[in-house]
Amino acid sequence: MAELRKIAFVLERFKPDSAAQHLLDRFLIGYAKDGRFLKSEDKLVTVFIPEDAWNADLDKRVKDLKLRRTNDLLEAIEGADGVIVIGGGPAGRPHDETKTEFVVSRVPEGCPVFIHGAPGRTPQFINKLNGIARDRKTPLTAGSVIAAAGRLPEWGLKPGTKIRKAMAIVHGDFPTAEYHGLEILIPFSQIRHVDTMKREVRGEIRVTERRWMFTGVASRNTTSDVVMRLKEDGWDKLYAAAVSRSDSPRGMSVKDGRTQDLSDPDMFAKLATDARLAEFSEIDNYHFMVVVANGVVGDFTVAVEEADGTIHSTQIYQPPAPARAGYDRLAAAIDQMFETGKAPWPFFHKYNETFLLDIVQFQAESQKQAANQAAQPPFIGPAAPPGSPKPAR
Amino acid sequence: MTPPANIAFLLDAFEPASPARHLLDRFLIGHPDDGHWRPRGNRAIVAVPQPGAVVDTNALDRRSADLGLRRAANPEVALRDADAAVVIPQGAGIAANMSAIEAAIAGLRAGKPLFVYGALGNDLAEARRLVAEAAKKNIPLAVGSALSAADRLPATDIPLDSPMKEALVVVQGSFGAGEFAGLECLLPLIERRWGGEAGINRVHRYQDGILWGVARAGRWPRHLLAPALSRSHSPQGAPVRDGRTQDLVGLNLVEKLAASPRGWVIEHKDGFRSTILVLDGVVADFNFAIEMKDGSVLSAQIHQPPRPNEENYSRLAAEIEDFFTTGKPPWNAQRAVLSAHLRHLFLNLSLLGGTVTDVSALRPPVAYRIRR
Repeated sequence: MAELRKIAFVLERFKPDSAAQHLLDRFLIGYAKDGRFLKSEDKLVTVFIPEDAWNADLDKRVKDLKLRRTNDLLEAIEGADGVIVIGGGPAGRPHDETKTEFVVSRVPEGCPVFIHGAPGRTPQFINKLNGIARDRKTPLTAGSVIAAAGRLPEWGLKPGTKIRKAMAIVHGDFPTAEYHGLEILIPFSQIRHVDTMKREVRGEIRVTERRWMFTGVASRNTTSDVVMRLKEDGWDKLYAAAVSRSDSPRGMSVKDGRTQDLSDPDMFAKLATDARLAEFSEIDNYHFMVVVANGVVGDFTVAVEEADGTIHSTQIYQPPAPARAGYDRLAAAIDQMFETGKAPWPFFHKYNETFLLDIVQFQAESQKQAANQAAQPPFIGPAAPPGSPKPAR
Repeated sequence: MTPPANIAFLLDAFEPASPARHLLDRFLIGHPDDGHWRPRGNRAIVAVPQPGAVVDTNALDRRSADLGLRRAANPEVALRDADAAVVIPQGAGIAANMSAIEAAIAGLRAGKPLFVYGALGNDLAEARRLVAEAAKKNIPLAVGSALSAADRLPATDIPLDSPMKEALVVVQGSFGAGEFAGLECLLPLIERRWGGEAGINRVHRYQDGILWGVARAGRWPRHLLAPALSRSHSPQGAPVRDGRTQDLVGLNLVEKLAASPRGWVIEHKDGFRSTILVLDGVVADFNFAIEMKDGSVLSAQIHQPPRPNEENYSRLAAEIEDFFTTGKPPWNAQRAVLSAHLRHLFLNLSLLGGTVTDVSALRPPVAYRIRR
């Protein structure tokens, strides 16, 4: 009989229709992948959860599905072949950082760790976590179901494509919506074409990619400001392309089922409630934007403009509750990471997401304090992957 | 051809969430299409409620006031000036509105296209007659439903002349509705097999426990059930109760969950076999699996976007608009003839309580090929 793989879940709480429930069940029972149901017979699943968060739903899984319970975090991760850390809040909310750091520091060397959602509150913490993982040769990544979601229609940016702009339209509360928007957009920054910089260092020519060098973050938190920005610099074209991919527009469509042209930002102004926008610029004039369109659409969409003006758009498809089959894709990505030791996407994406989200949060708070007066962002420097050489200024 | 300036809608119903409402609104207002908003265009839309039509009069009045919808009391007046016509029956389009289709063919001028939503006829003879009448008057004819234009999840392209061995679709619905949906899902897939549709030899009907019994005897491809159901995003049973995943086929739960299951096995003249399973209570979406001759299996979900928008109607509206502009039907009308034929066979078998009907002697068989 083949040896069982030990998968440890480190949870803060467990309730139906949460990421914890969806992922734990997929590792306990199995999930659909590529036209078949992959059973989890080769796994021994252990869960650590605070005593006061233990509930009848978990009891049922101990009884029915041989879930192993432990009250000792160290015991939970001891000998694990893979560890999944899931916080208690929505995906954009940071976890208990102490616990996360403990897990990454104490898992068996080389044991992959997946953190659901944002791995920490600050880029400094993520950098620290990355350093620990690197020293211990621990494959580490983080993300939510959005990072692994399918697209409708299926479309992906070809690596090396030169792009000018990108926009994600999302909905939800701060900072979860913005976090998901960045989860959609940051991978484009990773694979897009960038120019290189050459410089001479002690007689040697060094080549650096002009990537991850952020030069500006601007956030807007009133509907009129958001609409004004959508009408500038050709953003209306990206907005129209992205919003046209929504299968759940609000407004008249909800009132009496009729279609409604949402492609005009003025219609956005009429429908939006708690609209927000965060715009990010990179050193080579690549701009990307997260538009939080509460009241306008009920799904996530994205549009990308290539250097020649071609616009691509698609929906980030999220299958319906209660099954939320999108977690099948996330579980498959994690499972593969546990098997191969190769993370499905780089951990430094999370560094950049947190770095940018941190500034957006600062701006939002400043704007609130200054009664909608434009706030000066803090110094914005290059957000290079942790551990990589500092780019030249 | 140029886009039609005047389109007549012959409606048997105009209610919330009805195909009539979805399509008429898209023609009146516009709709999203492949990454942009396709505007209404400069055209007149005339609604012609049919005698006995179930019409939300207030909703039609609102559209007349807000969106310039015109009304006509009878088809003759509306069709006289129409550059194209759309006929939409009640409900999901299971029962053809023969009088409206006949009126549209009779009233439209030569060369003006006609789109029929749902069923073209209620049996083979009716459907064949309507196709012949339209051809005689040189009226381009297209027949389809929201399922005809639906996306597949994952995006699955079936190359023309694929070497298929057998196919299975899983749908839900009451008798008639489920079978109609099953054919709408199945026929667009299997007509792409090598040689095209060759015609039907026999249709078998299996119900309730017998359906599972004959599966063990290989009367329908049970091995395709797992790949088809694995594509579902709405498994019933435990996933509905507490959100957990469940291996519906591996745990033999399909038989337990399915309420009054119905199965239709269609033997085609080229040896191909296709199966429609109407399984209420197992999943709540439409899925299929096709086994190729090399043993590989292709499976996907027929995606139906959520209510109230049901955006697959936008894709259907785009197909109809392109058809009205080019005069080239997006789908072969023989598909609708075959669908009418099969639904009539299903009905007869159900009414008479039979298990098999042999139509191999039918001349000519309903055979057609998709043009490349």
